[in-house]
Amino acid sequence: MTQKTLIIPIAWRSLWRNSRRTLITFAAIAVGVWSMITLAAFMDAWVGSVVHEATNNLTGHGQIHQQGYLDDPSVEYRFSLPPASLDEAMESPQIKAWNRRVRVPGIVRSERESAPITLIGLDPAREVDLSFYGNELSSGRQPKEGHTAEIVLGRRLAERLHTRIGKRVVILSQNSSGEIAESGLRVVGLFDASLEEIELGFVFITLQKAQSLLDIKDAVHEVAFTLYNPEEVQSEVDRLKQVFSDLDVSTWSDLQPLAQTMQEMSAAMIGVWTVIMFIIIAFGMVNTLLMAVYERTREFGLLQALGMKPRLILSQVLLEAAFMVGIGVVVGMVISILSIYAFTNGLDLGPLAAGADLFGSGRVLYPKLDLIIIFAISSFVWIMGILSCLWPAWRAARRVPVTTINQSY
Amino acid sequence: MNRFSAAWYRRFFENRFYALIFLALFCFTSIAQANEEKALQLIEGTLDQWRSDYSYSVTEMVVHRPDWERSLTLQTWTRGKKDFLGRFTAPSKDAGNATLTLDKGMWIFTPKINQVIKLPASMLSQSWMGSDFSYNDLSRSDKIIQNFDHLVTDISNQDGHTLYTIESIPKAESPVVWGKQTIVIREDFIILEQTFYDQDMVPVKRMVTTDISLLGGRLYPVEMRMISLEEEDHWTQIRVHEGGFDIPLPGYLFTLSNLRNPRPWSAP
Repeated sequence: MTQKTLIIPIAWRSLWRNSRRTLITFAAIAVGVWSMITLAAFMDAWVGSVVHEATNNLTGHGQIHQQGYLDDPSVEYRFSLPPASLDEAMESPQIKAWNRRVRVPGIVRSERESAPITLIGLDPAREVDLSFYGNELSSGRQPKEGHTAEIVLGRRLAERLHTRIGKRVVILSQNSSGEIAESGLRVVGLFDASLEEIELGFVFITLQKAQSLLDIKDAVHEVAFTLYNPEEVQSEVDRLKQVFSDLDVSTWSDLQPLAQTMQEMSAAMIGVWTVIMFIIIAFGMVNTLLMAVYERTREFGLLQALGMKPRLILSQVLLEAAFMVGIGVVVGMVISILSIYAFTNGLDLGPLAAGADLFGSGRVLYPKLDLIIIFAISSFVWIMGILSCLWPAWRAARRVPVTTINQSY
Repeated sequence: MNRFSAAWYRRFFENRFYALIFLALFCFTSIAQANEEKALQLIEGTLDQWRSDYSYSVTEMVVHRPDWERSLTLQTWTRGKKDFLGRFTAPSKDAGNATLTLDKGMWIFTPKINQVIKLPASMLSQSWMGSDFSYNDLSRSDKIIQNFDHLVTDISNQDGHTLYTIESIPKAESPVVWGKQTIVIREDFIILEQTFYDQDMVPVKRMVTTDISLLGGRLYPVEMRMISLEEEDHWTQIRVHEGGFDIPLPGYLFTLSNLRNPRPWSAP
């Protein structure tokens, strides 16, 4: 066994000279790594949920409106395109699903209550892959096609209005000439949404019924679309901007700036947390190693006196550090993978749901095992951990053998 | 063909049978139609009895709740079947608050903020000045004719009067939240009772006439009480103290400028 390979068992055995101290350091590193990885996973799940909610709740990846609609979403800012030109423009290999919608503020009334809502007229079949409304209703059915006087409410809205399937509610809005448009509609279906504000704030009727109610012929207020690859949204929006130069084409991050900000904020937060945790780990480790080196001053002196090169002593101490951080990191990784795995079926925020709603996240978070993140964090801690131990290692290596051997305790 | 053959009998019987069915159906539809017409006539008569071409009144309104009661006085003017102006005169806290209904809209004026506000239609079914009346009940417009199908379901006699009970079912797609209304009207177009049902046909509120006297030369339901059937001891009573009918009212009364800056008008 050469000198160089010999230091490996020496470093390993030195670790266990004071096994209690070593185990405590392992634990500190493991907990630190675990907190970084789990926090990253949960933040990621949360941001994913916010973005998913933002796009899935009728926003899509992008939308087309009349200029001015976003500032004042009222009946006037509608647009009407020859169906062929819209079909042609939306017939892109990138676009997964798209739909035309009438979308105006209104009021819904029952015998006992009334509530402000957003009235949406659309063809529900085309919402598949576009929004949550393409999913099955939680009870009842969709309105029949055409000018049917039927409506779908959110479950909570129905509760608030003390109404239910089969009963009649009245919808009020403003028609194209500024007069009151009102109609009695039968509740035929109820939908569940992950956000309370969606369940309370949106009601759905057929596109034709909405157009005739508001007296706007074949005009709509919104065209929403989703893409196969959300990363392509900017280029697709740019293309549509050229086709519909007089309309307002926007990406989901323009429409949901909060979700966009959350995404950026969470990335920054993961970074800050990683650095803080790392500094704490580093202090613990440097301290342990300094102690270990100090205890073995005579030993290092003796080894040097016998002819061991300082470079090898440095490597030996660094190797000890590498073992220590390495084991701690691996243990941390295992615990964090286990704890993420425990929640892959979803972490129900339960009583915190109202607070989660406020930030636009869903009620259940689904943390994912992202191996790249896990390895990135682990190797960062490992490499930086070894680097921070350069100081104790360097101290051990530069001892002058004569003084250290003669040193008495 | 032999006059008494089996075939002849059969044909005759069949004919008679069909004729009977035809007759029965005819009678039934015409009765139903007559019934609907009668119901409509009663309701139109009641509205007319209430409003005439022009009407004017001074009314006291008492809002009663389990732990408090307040009394308000207002003047009202109506023109035709749709236009209505009401202005509070007492107590001084509420004096000046006014409501104007024209064909297509309703406006309120609040002196405290010196603003005329167009009421969104959503508010028309909401409580008026904290009472059990909605803005819709107040304006007594002919919307009830447009939005409901009416049918006389019961005719009875009481104190020498004939009472008609009318059941009013909202038409499909009409903007009405009630399941139905039942209205009891006397043959002289005095309304005695009006009950609002929710869509489970549970009564929600009921208006009853508690005093019928002469007013402006005609018999009039001068005191009525709207009772909430869902909340104990909640009711609102209106009593007409003074009134006149068919006095041509000047057009300026029913304008937004008069709503904001009332021009003096007194009953002749």
